[in-house]
Amino acid sequence: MESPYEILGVATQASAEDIKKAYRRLARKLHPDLNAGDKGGEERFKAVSAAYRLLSDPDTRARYDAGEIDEMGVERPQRHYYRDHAGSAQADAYASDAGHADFMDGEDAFAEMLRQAARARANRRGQDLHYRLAVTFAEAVAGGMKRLTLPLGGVIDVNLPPGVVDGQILRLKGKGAAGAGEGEPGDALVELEIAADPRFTREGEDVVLDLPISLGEAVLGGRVRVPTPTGAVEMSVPPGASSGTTLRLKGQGLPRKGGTRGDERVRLRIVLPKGRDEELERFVAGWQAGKDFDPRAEVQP
Amino acid sequence: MNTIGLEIERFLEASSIDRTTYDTWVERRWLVSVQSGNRLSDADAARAMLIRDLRDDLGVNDEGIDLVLQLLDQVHGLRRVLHGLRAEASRRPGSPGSGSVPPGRPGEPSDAA
Repeated sequence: MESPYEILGVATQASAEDIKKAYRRLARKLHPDLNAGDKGGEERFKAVSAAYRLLSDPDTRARYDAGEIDEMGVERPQRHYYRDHAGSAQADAYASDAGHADFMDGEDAFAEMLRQAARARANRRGQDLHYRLAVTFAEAVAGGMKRLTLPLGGVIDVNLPPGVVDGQILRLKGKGAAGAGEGEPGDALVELEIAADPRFTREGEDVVLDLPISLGEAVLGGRVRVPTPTGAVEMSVPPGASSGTTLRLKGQGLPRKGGTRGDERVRLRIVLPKGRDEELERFVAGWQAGKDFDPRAEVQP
Repeated sequence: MNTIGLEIERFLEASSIDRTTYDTWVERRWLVSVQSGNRLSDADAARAMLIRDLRDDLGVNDEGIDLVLQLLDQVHGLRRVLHGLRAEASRRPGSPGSGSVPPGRPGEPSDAA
């Protein structure tokens, strides 16, 4: 392996100024952006740069000379050079035809080919632009208009269809970057980030809600108010309901193909008041039918 | 304005230059201006790093950078033309690079002009 001194072509006692000069001379020759088509030279440039980084810092140079670190001591992460981007649409604003415009003037087929390519570039379709849009669970279920504020100012009104899912990408035609010349604008690709609502889970087109009810409501039945993704509705709890009993609110779920909607499934959960209640304990202790009932009959081994 | 700030911040971080430097380089027409509606991309960040290399590592002065960028932009303009021609050539049947070149007679190179 070559030493950094050998790589830069300087003597081990070379001054900082000599090292800098040697590096500049080599870098002007080897810099990948000054050798647009030479992919092989990049390794040599990397070696030269690493050698210079090591020797240009008096501290690392002294440590290298003392044998404390080796040539690999100053590795740097991979970097992309301008030449890697210069052919892409991202660099359109910089590309120049001043080096070959005269070739386009003739009547020959070659000139025509160049003119066509130049016209195609001059009227290139605009880029698609990617955005993210935060959506609440209620908005995802109900759909509707939602305003997206663009990083560079300006807004796009997004028409959310009802029932969108997290990670879904909406394509908004013509809302991307402007095209060049007569080129069409690109599209805006809007990725939806749907915030979870801790009350609801989604199962296919249904939404599922655990609804706490009191012992009285479970035993005697009654009307309760139930949240839905888009508001709340009244629902009857039948007398004698158990925890786990599931009731259906028709059409309160997500839209299905064909215009109908899924349901909201309401799973009842009986909740006792906090703390002990003597009256209740006395009643249950003397409640014969309750003692005779075996709720685990079906799960016995 | 705040939203422009966000985008330019990411660009400045990627290219390791500060805002004043960016504004100066825009004035010299080395980089596109975000204020006039351009979006900054990885290409702009890589270009900024190239300019930084030219100035700091290769010791090129402002006039030199002007010249280097002008010539580089011409080189890349030419490279785009070459890419276009290669694509065109491979689309035309029977042309070199199309994969459908008829085999030449024995002893005769098939890609002779």
